[in-house]
Amino acid sequence: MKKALKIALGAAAAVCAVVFAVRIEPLEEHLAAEMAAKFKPEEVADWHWEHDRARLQDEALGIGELLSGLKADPQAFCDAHARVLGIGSGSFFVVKGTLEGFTSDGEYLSGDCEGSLVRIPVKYIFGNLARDASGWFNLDDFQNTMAFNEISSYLNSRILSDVIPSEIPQGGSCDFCGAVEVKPAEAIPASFRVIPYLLEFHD
Amino acid sequence: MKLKSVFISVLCVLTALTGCRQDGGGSKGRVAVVISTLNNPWFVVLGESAAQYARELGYEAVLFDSQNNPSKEAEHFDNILSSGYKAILFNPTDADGSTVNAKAAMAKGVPVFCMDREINEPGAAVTQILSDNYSGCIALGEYFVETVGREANYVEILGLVGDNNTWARSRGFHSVVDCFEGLHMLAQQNADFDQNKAMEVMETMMQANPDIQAVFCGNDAMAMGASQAILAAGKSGRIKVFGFDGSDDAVGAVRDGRLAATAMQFPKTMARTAAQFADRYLSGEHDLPRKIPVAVELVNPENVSHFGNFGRRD
Repeated sequence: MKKALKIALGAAAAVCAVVFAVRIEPLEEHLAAEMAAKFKPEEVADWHWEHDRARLQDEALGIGELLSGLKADPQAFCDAHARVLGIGSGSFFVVKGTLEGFTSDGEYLSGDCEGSLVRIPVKYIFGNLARDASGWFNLDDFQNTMAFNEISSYLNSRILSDVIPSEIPQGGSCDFCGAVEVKPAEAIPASFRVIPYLLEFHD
Repeated sequence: MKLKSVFISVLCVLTALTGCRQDGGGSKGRVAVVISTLNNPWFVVLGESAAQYARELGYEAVLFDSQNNPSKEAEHFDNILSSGYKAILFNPTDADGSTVNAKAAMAKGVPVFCMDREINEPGAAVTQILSDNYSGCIALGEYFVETVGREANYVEILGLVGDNNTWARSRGFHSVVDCFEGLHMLAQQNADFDQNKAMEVMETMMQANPDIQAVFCGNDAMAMGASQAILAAGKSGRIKVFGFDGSDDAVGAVRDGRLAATAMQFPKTMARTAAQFADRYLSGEHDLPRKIPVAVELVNPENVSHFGNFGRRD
């Protein structure tokens, strides 16, 4: 009797060991978890930064083109040319131009471009503008909004390290390509704040 | 025996009648609106708006209060899934903990549409309609630096630690203020989005740190609690209070100077979008975006007249 009990207990223990050693989950869930684990937002951002940044210049609007489009019909112009994110967001554009005779106060480069004042931050870069205007990222590809927002922090840090020179040259001109936000329902801004993807200084 | 049968019959009729009144009498089926808590006016607006929009689209709508309790939420889901609801408009209690409820509903063919609060598994809901908390708090952070200055001591009161909104707001705010070395955070503590808890937390923080110039709160209820504590301590006007939500009392407090600023989320927009998406899905349109951010706007003394009633006046 005792022997039978021992065998039964041993068998039960063996079954338990096998059952708890194996975890069964739907294939779809497993693949999704694997994809999420492989997905590295910074690597995706790096890839776009290296491969697509120069291409932004080709699609960029001139500041004058942006201004005349907004003056003509802001909503229609934004619908045709801007990127938006969800409901109620501003309209995001990629713009380019040249600042002639710019000045720098340590935080902003400022200068005239095709009749508009353009201000380019060179010390503090916050927010999602660089991410959202680029069109490189889709919120649906991210595990959650925190991961999506981390892209912005990372892109902003790359702009500060890769685009903004440690010493801003004095005088001359500066070619820029960057991101700008416009709210079509509001008045045309007196100046444009541009987050730079590319800056090129000339004597 | 006869008496018992009559009693049961009467009970059945009463139950049926009560059910009809509660559900609003729509013809397309029932939709459940599950809200994390109805102990906060902002969530009451979210829940009631979602139910109202669902009714306008022809559904019967029933509102469930999870009382910020994941177990209560799970109970609601059990009831909903055994009661033939067509869809769930869902404001979760916890980004991770609520996932299992949403997945259970989806697995049973009941589509889930999240409102305001996120769950961490994208496939566990058809669509998540979420405030862009991070961007909103960047705007608040910039305004904080502008009004408090670049050298000051401040404290932060966080919401629920298990909620993604808590961290999205905190990180958005810190992505700005942490750039300024002269801004020192003396303390950071959670008060679970609760006004009374925030009042107690603020009292404790002020006792431990007499030199506070500002407090950043993860929602308006906590900002109002902090404001009460500041008033009771006789420090009104010396500590700037920043909230987030755009609730009516907070907008009023910005107007009369008790709050420095808040950020307007748009609960009615989120509720309407969730109800419309549920309707589209139930009508056979299954190719819907998984996440939709809804922009948040800074509310400060300069623009406060444009806001009220949980949205823009104009």
